[in-house]
Amino acid sequence: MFDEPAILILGLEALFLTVVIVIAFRLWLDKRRHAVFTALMEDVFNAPGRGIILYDHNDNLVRANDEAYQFISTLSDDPSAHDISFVSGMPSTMKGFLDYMFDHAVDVDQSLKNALDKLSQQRSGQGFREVIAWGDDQLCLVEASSTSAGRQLVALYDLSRAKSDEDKTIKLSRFSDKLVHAIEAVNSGIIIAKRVDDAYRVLFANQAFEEYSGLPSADTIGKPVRRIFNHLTTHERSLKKIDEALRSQSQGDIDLKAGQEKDKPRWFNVQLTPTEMDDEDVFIAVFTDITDLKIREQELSRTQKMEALGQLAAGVAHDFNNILSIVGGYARIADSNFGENETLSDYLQKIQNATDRGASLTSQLLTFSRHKIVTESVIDLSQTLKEQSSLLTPLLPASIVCSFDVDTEGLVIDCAVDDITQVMMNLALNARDAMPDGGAITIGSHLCEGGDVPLHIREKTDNDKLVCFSVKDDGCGIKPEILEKIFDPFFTTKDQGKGTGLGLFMVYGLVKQMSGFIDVDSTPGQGTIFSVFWPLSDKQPTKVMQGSIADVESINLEGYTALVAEDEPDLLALVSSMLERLGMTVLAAANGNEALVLQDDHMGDVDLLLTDVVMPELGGVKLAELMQEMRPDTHILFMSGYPAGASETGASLPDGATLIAKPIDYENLARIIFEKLTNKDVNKFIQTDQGRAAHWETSEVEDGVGNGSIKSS
Amino acid sequence: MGQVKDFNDLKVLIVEDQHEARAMMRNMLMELGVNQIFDAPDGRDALVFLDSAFDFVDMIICDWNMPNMDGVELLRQLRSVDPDIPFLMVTGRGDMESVVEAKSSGVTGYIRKPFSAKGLEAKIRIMMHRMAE
Repeated sequence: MFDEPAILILGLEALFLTVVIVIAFRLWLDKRRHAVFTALMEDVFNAPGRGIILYDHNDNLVRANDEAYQFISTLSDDPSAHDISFVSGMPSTMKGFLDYMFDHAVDVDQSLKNALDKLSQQRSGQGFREVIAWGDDQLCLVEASSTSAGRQLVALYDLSRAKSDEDKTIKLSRFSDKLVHAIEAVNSGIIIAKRVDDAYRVLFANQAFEEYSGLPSADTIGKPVRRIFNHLTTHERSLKKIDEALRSQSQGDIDLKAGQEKDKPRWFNVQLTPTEMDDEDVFIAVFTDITDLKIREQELSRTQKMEALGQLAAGVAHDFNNILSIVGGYARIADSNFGENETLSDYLQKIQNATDRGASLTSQLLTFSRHKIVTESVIDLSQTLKEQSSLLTPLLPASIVCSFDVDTEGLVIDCAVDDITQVMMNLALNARDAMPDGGAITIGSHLCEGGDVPLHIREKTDNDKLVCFSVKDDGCGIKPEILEKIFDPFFTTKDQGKGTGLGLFMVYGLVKQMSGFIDVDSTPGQGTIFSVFWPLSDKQPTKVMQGSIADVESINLEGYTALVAEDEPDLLALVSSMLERLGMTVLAAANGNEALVLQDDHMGDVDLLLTDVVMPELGGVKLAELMQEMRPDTHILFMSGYPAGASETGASLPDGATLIAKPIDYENLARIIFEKLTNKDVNKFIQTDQGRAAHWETSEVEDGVGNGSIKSS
Repeated sequence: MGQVKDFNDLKVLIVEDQHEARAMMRNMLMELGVNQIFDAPDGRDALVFLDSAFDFVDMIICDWNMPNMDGVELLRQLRSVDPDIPFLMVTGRGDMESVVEAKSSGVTGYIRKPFSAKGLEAKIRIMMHRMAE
């Protein structure tokens, strides 16, 4: 049994023990909690992402975390080396820290300085929060605040990375804005297509592509590329090339003829480029409108073709003219020798007529190839058309009414009457043939400015004012498919034997030679208008008077010496005999070099050099130059199977040169030589041929003669 | 008749005592497309040159009056070796007697000073044509 005091003591002991245990446990617990808290605080203190520096109420450094040390060390290699106020790399006072900050910051402005000053003076925990920049792109948010115990806590946050990320985002967004804007603004159509299963489908199409294709983006985006191309063109060859590029994932450079067969074609160059975007196969197609380029290419090739044909024609005609000269010339000589025999004379006349016809054919061919010396002449178009209209009347049947709408005066152009007449005649005859059942032809002339002139002509000339000459008919018109061919030589739609196919070919050549432009507007079944445009000339029209020498046979040029250079022996003999018939002494040379030697040997004067333009070794143009050097008084006459003779020789005839077109016509030659020589020395002529001089009062322009205006003697 | 040589293939010897005249002739010849040109200041030097290089010269253009050996003497000596080589005598004299003298001494051609490139070209062509005949 227990006594009561003992139980009490036992109880007290137990209580005491319990209290002790509880206290000990609480103490242990507190300590434990404190240790955990301290470790926790240490973690927080050293947590990455911000630097922390703590100064006590006396402004002395308490501690700083690793990050803070790193911040400071990035400002300088060894900060403490420069400043004694540093304690193991950290400013020892708050003020020191602020000064250090200020010294190393870039873009410091007054407000920042003020804030720092204020902070360092007050130290009152007002708080400080500024972004300070230093070094290369380093940005730091500095936060200073006072604790309740009067300590100063400085927190440093590195904003550089965040800033650079933000910058990048802004930059990217701006760039992509610009990129999209540029792609939308560019003149080329661009589509981007991604491969989905087996087909490429359009991801993106720009504005220009919408315009090019006529497809709204709703009909483009998401649709298979092949379908889009099918919409653009029906030309199998182009589509095949595109398929090939898409299939083989290779680069493609394709000229695409867009539009349906019946439409006016439009050309695109399509550049196909395969690439990858986010590991997906993508094709980029860039469309450029090359319609203008294609049209120019076609024009160029057409011009080249015409030039080649012209050269061919000129080459053939040259030899042919030589042959005609010989045939015709000897026929004429034979005729004058056997004139008594009527039958023979008749035959010879027929030969001469035939050679004349042959000559006119070659002359038609040659007109095209710009080989005719352009006569310096200025005409009033309306007046000339009126004057020449009488030539047309006999050629038009009664069923065709021809009217002239040429009232405007003062349409002055630089070209020869003959050429204009030829153009008018050919176009009018063409109009006549287009109206076998009769109709109306209107020949007009008027001044065109700005919009009146077709665009393709306006592009080729700088002249604002153009004179337009037009021939309009209401005949059968020209089918669009042959419109391109109508100016080709020997192209004709007329029945065999009815057309030579040279009419429009000649018109084309003449207009080109006169620096003009031609335009055709035709509607099948309704009629055709041919319009020819020339620049308006500011010169005065030339007055041309007609006249003729009374009698060539009366010309006698005895006492004159002529040097003839011609490489065709028969023609040399013929021309020499013509000159001898005029009474001249003739030095006949088979080529240019021989002509030089002959004149060198000849001790007397050489009054005239009559030379072929095209000769081997030394051509006529060079010969004439050398002759002028050695014998400046010698008159020079060129003759050529090419009416202007020049292009083939590579040298052009000198200014003011006189050219006689082959075949050589005796009367023509006699008159020209007479004019040349007697102008030079009238007295000599009169002395040798007194009383027999042929007189004429007016001047005239010779066929086939460059500037053969003959003055009275 | 043989083919007349092209100016590009022509080799010419100029014999002229005046430096400026030599240079001028050289320029003219080059203008005409002749690019193989030799020169000598008088007849004696020309003979020395021709002695070793006779085959390299197609034509001689020579002044009449020169010290040491004049054009006529040079021509006389040359003709004894080669009667055919084209020889163009350059003369300042324009009288008929001089022309006759020049012709009778065996020149292929003669040209009066002053002359132009075209005048020279004509004379060369004439000489070449004569030689080719």
